[in-house]
Amino acid sequence: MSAKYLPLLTTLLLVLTCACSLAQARGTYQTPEDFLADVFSGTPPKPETLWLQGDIKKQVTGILGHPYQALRIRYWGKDRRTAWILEEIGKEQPITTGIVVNNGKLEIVRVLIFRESRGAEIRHPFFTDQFKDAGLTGEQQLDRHIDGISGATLSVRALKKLARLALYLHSRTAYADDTP
Amino acid sequence: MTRHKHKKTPAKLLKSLYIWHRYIGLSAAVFVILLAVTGLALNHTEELSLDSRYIDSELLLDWYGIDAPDDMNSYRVGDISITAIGNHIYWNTVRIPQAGVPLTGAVKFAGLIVIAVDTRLLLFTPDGKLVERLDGAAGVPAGMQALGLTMSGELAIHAAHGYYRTDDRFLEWHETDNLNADWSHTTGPSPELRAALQRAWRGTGLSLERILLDLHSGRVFGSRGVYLMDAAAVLFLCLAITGLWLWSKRRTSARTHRRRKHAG
Repeated sequence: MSAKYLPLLTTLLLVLTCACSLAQARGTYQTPEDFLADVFSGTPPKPETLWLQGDIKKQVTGILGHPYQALRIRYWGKDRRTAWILEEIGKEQPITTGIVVNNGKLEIVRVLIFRESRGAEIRHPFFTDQFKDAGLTGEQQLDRHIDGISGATLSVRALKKLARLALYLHSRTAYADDTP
Repeated sequence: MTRHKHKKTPAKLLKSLYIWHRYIGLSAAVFVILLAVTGLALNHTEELSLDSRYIDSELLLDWYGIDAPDDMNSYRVGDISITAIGNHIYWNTVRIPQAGVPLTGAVKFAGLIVIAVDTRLLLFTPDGKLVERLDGAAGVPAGMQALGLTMSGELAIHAAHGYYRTDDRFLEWHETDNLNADWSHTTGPSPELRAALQRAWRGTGLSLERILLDLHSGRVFGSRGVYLMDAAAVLFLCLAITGLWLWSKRRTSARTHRRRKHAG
């Protein structure tokens, strides 16, 4: 093939790559069922529920900046690990996120379903891996800095809130107890 | 007979240009005000919540041809009606946010109102507060076709792969071959409710942002409105060109006048 077609082919390839990445931005990356099966080696424990009442409700509202959308949250726990499927609106649509807290630290933060038209970059491991081993300070803030992503500010903010929320909720379950 | 061509002198041409500039300016003023006001508002869509504020003017809704669908799928639970219209689900006449469709059923169970939509069960308190959204991760079977109550008072689901039941904690789902249950069935809303739902549906059909965008582009008046705004853009161009022309002429004549004054 002649070398003169090389720039044309490169441009076409770049355009196609961009189009594909845009087309794939919205969608289900992993179903919540698969996420739970994944983090509990195929056999998730029975779910349990946590009611958002009294002080818990107040703290959750403080973390999110608004009341949580529901009065009760479901979670799955084993040993000192809990898994949460949480949702928070980025700009207009809820971002469904799977979060695993192990011994008071974040083990996994994974975007499961992304419905917004922008900001889907937050699903990539280069971003979510920053949360690994993060914990909560006394002021319910993450104990480390999370680098943002240009053009995905609202999605980044939503994911940081959910990470803090999962850590706080974990601390209110029986699985946070340090006694053996 | 001889025809005399009257050629305009530069002074007359300049005067004529002034007159044109003035009238073009006056004509363009209306469009400048419209574009400036709508443009300013659109630049601050989020701060002004233009995309979440809706127009309830019947005249404008009719102008845009926004009509609620006639097809309504409704389930009655005590005094409450759960209705699907288009892609929205309504609790009486209040829209349930991010509910999804289709609506498969609604029952009262364990002191809660349970609504089956899409792949989820939505649990509400009787006064309309969302308790929880349950999906496949919580064991809700895929492909829900009907929602009901068993004779022993459990929640029953007829799904794509069989029949399932659960207790009031919604923690475990048991599959059974067959289930004798009282399945919730769809009813047509009363004429009053239908009219109220149509008003509610129409009420969220036209956002303030859309009106401002259409005013800005002229589309509020259809395709002719777009040409009208094109004409306005041409007027702005004429205004800018005549303005620059007049300014340069005045500048040149002022310079000439000053030179003559110095020379004299």
